[in-house]
Amino acid sequence: MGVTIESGGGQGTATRPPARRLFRPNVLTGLVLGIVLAVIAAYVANAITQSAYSTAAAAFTAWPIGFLVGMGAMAYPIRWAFGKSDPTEEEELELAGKDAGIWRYFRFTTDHKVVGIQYLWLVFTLLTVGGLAAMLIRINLIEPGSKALAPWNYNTIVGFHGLAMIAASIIMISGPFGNFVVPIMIGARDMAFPRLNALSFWLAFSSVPVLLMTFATGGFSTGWTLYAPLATEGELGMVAINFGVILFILSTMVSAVNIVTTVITLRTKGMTWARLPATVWAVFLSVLLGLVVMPSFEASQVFTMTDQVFKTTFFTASGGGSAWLYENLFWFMGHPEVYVIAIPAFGVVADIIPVFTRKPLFGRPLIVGGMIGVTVISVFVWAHHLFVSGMAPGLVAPFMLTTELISIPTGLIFLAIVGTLWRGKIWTELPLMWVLAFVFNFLIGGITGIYLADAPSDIGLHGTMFVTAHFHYTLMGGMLMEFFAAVYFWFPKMFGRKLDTRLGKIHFWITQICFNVAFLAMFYSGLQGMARRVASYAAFLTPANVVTSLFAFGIGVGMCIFAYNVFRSLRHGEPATGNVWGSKTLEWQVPTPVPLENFTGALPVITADPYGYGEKDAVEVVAAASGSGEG
Amino acid sequence: MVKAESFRSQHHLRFVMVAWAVASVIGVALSVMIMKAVLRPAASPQMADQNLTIVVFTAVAVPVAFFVLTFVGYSVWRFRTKGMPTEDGPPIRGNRLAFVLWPSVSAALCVFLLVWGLYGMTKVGTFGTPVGQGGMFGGTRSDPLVVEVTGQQWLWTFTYPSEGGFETTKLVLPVDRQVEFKVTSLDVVHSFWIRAFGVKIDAVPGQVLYTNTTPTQLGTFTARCVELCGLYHAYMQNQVDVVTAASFAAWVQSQAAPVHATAVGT
Repeated sequence: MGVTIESGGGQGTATRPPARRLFRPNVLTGLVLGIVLAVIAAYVANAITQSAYSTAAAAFTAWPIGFLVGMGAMAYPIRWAFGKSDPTEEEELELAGKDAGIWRYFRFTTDHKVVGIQYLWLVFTLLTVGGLAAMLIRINLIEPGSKALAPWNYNTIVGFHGLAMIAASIIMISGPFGNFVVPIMIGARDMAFPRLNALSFWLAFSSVPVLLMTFATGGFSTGWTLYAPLATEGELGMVAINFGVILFILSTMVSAVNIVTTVITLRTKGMTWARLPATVWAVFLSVLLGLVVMPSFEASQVFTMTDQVFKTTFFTASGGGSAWLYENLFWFMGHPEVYVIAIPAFGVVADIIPVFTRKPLFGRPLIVGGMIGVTVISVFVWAHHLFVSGMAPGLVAPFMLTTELISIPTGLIFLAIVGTLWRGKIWTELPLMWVLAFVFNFLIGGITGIYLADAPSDIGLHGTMFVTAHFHYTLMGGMLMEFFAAVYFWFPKMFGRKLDTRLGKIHFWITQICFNVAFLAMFYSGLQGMARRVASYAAFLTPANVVTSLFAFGIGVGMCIFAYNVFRSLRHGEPATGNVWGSKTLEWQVPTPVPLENFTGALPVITADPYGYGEKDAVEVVAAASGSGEG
Repeated sequence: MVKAESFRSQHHLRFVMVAWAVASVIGVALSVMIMKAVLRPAASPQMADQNLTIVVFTAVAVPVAFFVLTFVGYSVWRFRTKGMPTEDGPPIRGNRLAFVLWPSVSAALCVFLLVWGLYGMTKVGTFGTPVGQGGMFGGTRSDPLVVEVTGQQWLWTFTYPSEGGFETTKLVLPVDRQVEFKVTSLDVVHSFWIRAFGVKIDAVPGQVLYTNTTPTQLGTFTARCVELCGLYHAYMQNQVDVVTAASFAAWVQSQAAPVHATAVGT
């Protein structure tokens, strides 16, 4: 229905009848058309094939098409395809959500700031769903015997926890802040491809109901790694996961193309690569890396789906396929993906520390070089997940080497932290506190990675809770805590109000303490020989698991406090519209709320990097007529 | 002014280095003690090597971690301001010595890890090739007892081809004799793990992978699956008994007999 409305006029007329606005397509029309198309496709597929797998595949194929058409995402492309006129300036502004109020968040809106906030809520949603799954896992593991959940449900929940959290982590900085902050940071009025930007968000949005459909179709037992041939053994719930992942990866790739192009082409005058803030470098490198490695995962999910639905045998040994093919396709994405998540967090660390120490970023060229090094090397480390999979022993050594080499560029982020903090004017506000938590947790996460990178110790530790504890220390203790740093830091910019400091400190301490106790206990269970992803375990492991469970619930409490803080501060938070933290990056020099095209009047001209604290002869960063108010 | 500033800076630096040295000495001693208490005793030479690797890595890692933590901790303690800073800190953008030393020390640590890893690999020798055939990483063959291990959802079965080819669900091994496992799977990917022996190799459908060990302790252990393989993955474990050579021979007799009797009976 969205299409007919949008393609009706379009004779280049600048004025439109106001009545048409009532019927502008939005998320509801998208949902309706998506569901209707999915039901029709399912009905037809079922009538023809009589197969539940084909029915599910047809429905999941039709859903995103119907949803996006119903959202109005296809309106302009279709107009162009049929040779209609280009949209007018006014139509573009309308599409960017001009004067649309709160409704712009529920439409196919191209403004990068709207997309950023949409992504933020998507991340919160995924973290909530994944967090609830984590609570269920810990309830089940508080005693042996899988008494709270049936093993089947347990496996589904473990897998769903992993997928939801990985999805959230991939987008948690590049999504909200990569979209909201990065274009302003580089002095651009919007992203290079605003429509692709909206498309990337709504594709990611449309993947969530598909992933959730696994619960309605029987679940899946593979964990988030989705290993075939277990994935192709006949679980209907797997089809939903395949399609959900396919949609999500599509979204990340669309977004990556957009961010890469934006950073390359839309930097304002004087914003050289050498003056680019670390966050921009980091998001740029992260999505570039994603662009290289994600297609491999996309392929693995398409093959899994066809193995299941169309009875191909990519991964079935009896049909000439191989489980090793899946493992390599998966991990070729699976390990770089960790750095897709990590690099933006490094960028946030590198940009927050100078602000809260009032010192220039220490060793800036080394940090940027380090992030480039991580990006490149991370493509060559994937087989360290496969040391005991039967790979040629001669290949173990090179992958051990690359995995250890990556610690050199990664270690440079610690050099930056130590060097910048040293003799600074340290202001221990919440964003910096989360960075300090990152230092502690990511040190432990990084160092325990050494045990897993070195083949002799990996043989014993592979597949145990030690691995689970290790990657929670990196991804949760390191990266998620940087997401919180970013939220506390940029919340005033995005919403014009500060998050409450007292609630924030309670959130911080509960989370940081409970996190460490829970996962140190998990290292212990792993060393004692507890395997990963098990619904039950030997009785002697009970004390460690009780500790992990209780403190995991504590993390849950901390997250509830954070959620309360967000909702409360949105309405009642201390108003903060100026340069709250005294930062020198561009996004803090524009007014809050940020105007539709970011910069009123001319674009700023950059003459120095944003780290010139204490440099007497340093030129002010902004040379344009945009107001800078001290908060 | 400049002189006083740099003197104070050196004073800070000296304090941090001393604190780091003290913390590292205590930390290394403590962490080695803790790791030795946490790691369970080895029942094969490989497991002893793996345990040693973990202890050594911990001892090396502690000073590295403490270096960062002491600097960060001291900075936050001494350089903290009350409220929003009113003036900027010193505009230090870098330090040549730090830029050279930091990556160099990281690189040296990497070399150490690589050398240790390669040396360790020559001893653990369990990467899927038959014993004695993996080049420098294959171990040495010394008349091993061959056991065929088959994974399926959700049980391991063991076949002894050299002892008449009977099949069991309990793995019984003679002490102090090399054993070679030929591991495969009938359905999905499993992973065969006997923790006490430091043995782990995937069971991949359509492939046969090898691993080997020499049990040195009498007793009862567990073989379990460590690759998520579906519904009852958590329960996919079998008993492992390590017995004397004489008991093993007797057990083989008792296993082989019924199979033989059935064959005669029919």
